[in-house]
Amino acid sequence: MEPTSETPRPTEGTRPTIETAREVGRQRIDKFLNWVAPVMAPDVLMEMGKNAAQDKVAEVRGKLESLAERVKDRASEIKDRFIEKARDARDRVVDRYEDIRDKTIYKAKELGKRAAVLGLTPIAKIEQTWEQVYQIPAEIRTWAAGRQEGRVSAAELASEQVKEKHEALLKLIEEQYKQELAEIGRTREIAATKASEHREKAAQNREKAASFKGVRSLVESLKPSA
Amino acid sequence: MNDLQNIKSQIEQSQLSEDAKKVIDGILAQAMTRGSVTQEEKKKILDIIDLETDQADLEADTRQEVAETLETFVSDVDSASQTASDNLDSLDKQAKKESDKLKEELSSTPANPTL
Repeated sequence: MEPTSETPRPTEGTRPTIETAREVGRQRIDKFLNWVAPVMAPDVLMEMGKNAAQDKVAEVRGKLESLAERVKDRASEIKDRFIEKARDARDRVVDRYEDIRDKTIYKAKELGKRAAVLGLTPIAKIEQTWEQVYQIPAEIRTWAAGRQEGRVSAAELASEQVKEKHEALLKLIEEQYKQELAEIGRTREIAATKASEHREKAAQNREKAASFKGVRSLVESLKPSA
Repeated sequence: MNDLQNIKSQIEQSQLSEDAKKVIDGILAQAMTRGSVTQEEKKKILDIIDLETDQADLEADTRQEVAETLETFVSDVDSASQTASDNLDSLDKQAKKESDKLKEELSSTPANPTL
């Protein structure tokens, strides 16, 4: 089966989801590798090159093998780069959340002090409420927490001790890739949903704050007794 | 007195927290018994409303920042996904081009010279 330009592509004009990109990429590369493998089989090459000199058949076979290796390597590089960028984006979210949380807790404490003076909600309760509001989505926390656990590094892979387990480790790495790609996809969807929820609640709070102005004006107009 | 009654009614219908409503209601009840509000009571009610306004604004500001952070994450991941997709597309085209060339090379090679 020869690779063709008929391989499904993301709909034009829309950004591909991670799942779509992964699937499309996988299909394209698999299609090519599936085509190369049988072509490289000696009997098929003999048939294709039945009129060719044997050394030419061997030469083409070598070039095809080299091409297949390059395609595999490049596909891995692309995948690695994507995961690296997604991890960087995730780490930026974690850092930014921490900044926002610290800043908000500081401001909430100030509000808490004012509330206590007025006989309203205690500080601890306000902080607790804010902590819940600003919690990093669980999916990002889990993904970030698991970044070092169980990962097989390139250095480990190259070490003498594990060389004999090379194939098994390659499979493990592939499985880790697969899991992380799925994790990125899930996290992206959760982040989009939560962003939308926060936007909606932010708008509700703006309306609420604006609505207090009317009541305040009424109180302001009261003439206090001497 | 009517002013106080009107304010009490407006406070009840407002989105102020139950905690705030309770404290303001206590202040207004005393003021209504007396027939007027003192300067200190008025200030306390205004302070409570200001506090509730600041709390709502703080929540709105923070939620907006959190939303922007998450949206940036989504955008970064989508952008990385688009780049990966484009790169795989190029790889696909390049591989096809090279393999076509090799096929052509093989099929157009002259036959072994026969004796």
